[in-house]
Amino acid sequence: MHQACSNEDGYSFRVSSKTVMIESASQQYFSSALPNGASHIADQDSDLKSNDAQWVCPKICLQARGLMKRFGGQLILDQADLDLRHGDVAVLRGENGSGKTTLLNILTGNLEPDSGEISYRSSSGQRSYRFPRAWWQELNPFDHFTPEYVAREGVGRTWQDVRLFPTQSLRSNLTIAARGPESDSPLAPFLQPRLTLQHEARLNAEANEMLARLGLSGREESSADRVSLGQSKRVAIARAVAAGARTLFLDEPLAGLDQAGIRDVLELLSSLQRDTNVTLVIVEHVFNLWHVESLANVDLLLQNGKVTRHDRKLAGGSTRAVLPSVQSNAQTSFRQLLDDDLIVKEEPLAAGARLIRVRCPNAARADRSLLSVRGLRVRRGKRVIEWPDARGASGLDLDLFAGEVAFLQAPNGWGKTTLAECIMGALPAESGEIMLDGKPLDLLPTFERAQAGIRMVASTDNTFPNLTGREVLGLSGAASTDWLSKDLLRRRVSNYSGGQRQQLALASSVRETRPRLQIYDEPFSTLDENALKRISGLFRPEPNSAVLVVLPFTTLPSQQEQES
Amino acid sequence: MQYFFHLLIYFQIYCIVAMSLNLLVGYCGLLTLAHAGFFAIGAYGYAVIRTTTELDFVSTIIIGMIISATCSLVLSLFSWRLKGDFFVLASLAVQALIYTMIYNWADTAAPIGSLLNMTNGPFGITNIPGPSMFGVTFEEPSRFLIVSTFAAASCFLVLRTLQNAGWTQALFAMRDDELAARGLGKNTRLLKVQAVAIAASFAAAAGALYASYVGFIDPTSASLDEGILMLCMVLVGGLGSLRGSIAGAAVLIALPEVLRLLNLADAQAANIRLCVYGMALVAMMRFRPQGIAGTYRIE
Repeated sequence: MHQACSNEDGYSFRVSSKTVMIESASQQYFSSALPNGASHIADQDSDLKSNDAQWVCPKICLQARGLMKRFGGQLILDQADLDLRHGDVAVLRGENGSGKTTLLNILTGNLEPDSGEISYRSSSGQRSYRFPRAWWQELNPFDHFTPEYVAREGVGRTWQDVRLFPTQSLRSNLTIAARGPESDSPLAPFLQPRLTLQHEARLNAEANEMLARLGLSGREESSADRVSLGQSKRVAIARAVAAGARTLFLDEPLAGLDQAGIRDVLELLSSLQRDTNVTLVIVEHVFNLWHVESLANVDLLLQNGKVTRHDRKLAGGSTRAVLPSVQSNAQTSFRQLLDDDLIVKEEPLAAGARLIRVRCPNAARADRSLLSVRGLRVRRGKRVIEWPDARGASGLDLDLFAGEVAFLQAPNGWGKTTLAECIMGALPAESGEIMLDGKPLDLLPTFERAQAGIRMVASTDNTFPNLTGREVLGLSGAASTDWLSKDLLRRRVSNYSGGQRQQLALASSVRETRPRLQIYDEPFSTLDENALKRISGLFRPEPNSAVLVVLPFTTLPSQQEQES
Repeated sequence: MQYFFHLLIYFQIYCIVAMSLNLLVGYCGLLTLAHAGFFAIGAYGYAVIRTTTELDFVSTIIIGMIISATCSLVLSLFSWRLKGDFFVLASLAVQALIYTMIYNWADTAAPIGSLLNMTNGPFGITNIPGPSMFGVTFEEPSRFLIVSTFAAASCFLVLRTLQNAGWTQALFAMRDDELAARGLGKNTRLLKVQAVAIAASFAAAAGALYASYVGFIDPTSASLDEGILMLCMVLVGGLGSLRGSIAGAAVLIALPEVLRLLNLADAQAANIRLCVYGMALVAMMRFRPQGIAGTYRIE
């Protein structure tokens, strides 16, 4: 890392002046598009110069040294060092449990490391935090290591589950972020009423303009919980930038998105990189990594508690792939799920979804379906999901046969989880019929459906955080504990990473005899490549049972995509 | 007519209470049972100062509001770390603390308002002077109505101005997702301290008005029953809405009066009133969880 910096020192002056030009462009961009946050972002470079002497490399905006973090006795970060520079678009990679989320939480002020030092560089200069912090430091009201103080140093983040303010409009989500501390005072509207009104009017206008740039013109007053996932992810990114984020950590920004959503988010990230020189650090799932390949100029590898930085930029301005192509890895992972000798049949389903049926070649298709869904309509809150087909008829029809594994892929908002939960009995059907082996399930509560042979692994909250891994597997009657290390099985699930929890939930579903119908809701999310290899056996067809896997549209390539 | 004025005064005092409580429950998502405690602090502050000193009406109310806002730090410090059910329990502890303090800070040998006998314990404080300004006394209901109308309107205007300000939007953000709000640079601890202090000071103003109108105050003003009644006004009226608070106060002030028309014995009427409160709350939670005019519902 130091080598890389010192190599670039030779052209640091040139880079610095170029950066000023970029900042000028960003100032124009933000002043026309983003409220506040914005206004102070663009002035940073001049302020930064005064502190250059304190930094090894003048472009660095975040520096971490010797970060240590333990969870439940396990060392997650071990003397980890990290430098981030202005304009970096870094992809943070690492296996499940390697500490990606921990590192992200630490750098954004959500978690304190056990020891080490973190320095942020912002418009107000440099701020360093040394850990462990003394108790008397916490008494100083202006020197806390918390998300709000780190955010004021120009560090923002987005969450995998978006976390827009659901009761507020899209415009309010942006204006709330854009207001500085002085505008958040309850005295402001009384002491400076006219100025406050003018300020609010300007913020609203700028937020409207920003929403127009995001393609959300006319949706300014829409409640944030009424827009699609792709739209809300774009607003979340814009909100973080509006709050003044100069370094932005993105936790799975493409998770759960369909093709259109992915394209829109990538366009926004690309424009941020191009026009504003914001530093981006992206944590993304293995299936989606290839989407961000074209944006990235830095790879951050988290391994054995240490971070290794690989710059892709070469002297001539071209880029080089430091790591193996992740696109090929994703496709390899998919192929591993399906043996070559299996019969794969793809068929369209209502409302733009598709069903990929996988069957053993020698297995005869049963006459009667194992699961039969007829004319299903389900109410979820105020919305009734009807799954209209091409002819406009409402109500979902679906048949699954014994010996099949069916991958149901559908766009966001289609009702994938709703369907799975309705089959399981967690949501009542508005109308229609669900039958297992010819017997109607309508009146059966969830536990009786489980006794009848339907099991489900939900996409979230699918395990018990206060139990140990071994206790969870014992409780679920899992056949094997081989998937997780003994050390991991001894620990409480609350100390597991997201990927490890998902592995545990999937391991809990493995039994000596497969249930009649096993449902998995987005089982691949948060899993790394090794874990994907491990779970491939779950999706191999067996004669007396069926498996239904519901997935977002982008997870598996279609047959045409595979052939091409 | 006097009776109607009397009801109107009660309604306006409880409007202030409900609007201020809505600032915490509806705007910040902090479900508190301690509001009656701050109401009582304002009432006792007014009673003690007015019975022992010559201080004027307005200054006394302002001092009561400052004392209540200072005491509210106990509750806001709890709100820094506790959420949901645990915060409700903490607010219950604060309510019990204030009630116990008022009930026990008494010594019959010492004069009322002295350090040994600040509240006169369970006997309460009597003969509290009514409002008087510019040489005019406002003790008659018809005159007091002017004072209470002015106070309720001022409270409404202040909260109405705040409702459209960035501060309230920051409260909404904190209520919806505190971590996300902090990630955007919002100092949620400071926001909570400000909101709790403002709400407590308005409750204290209402308490002072109550004490000055009734002329008597005792520890039952700080009881849990009072706190629940105040919370009912907000829940029935609707969270996050000033109009809702006014509607809630109107409904719960009018309800006993409607029952009075049935000519029931006092003991029966009191019990039936509680039953009707309970049924109204259950029906509201089932059929209209956001209240009469609310914009937000507690999940």
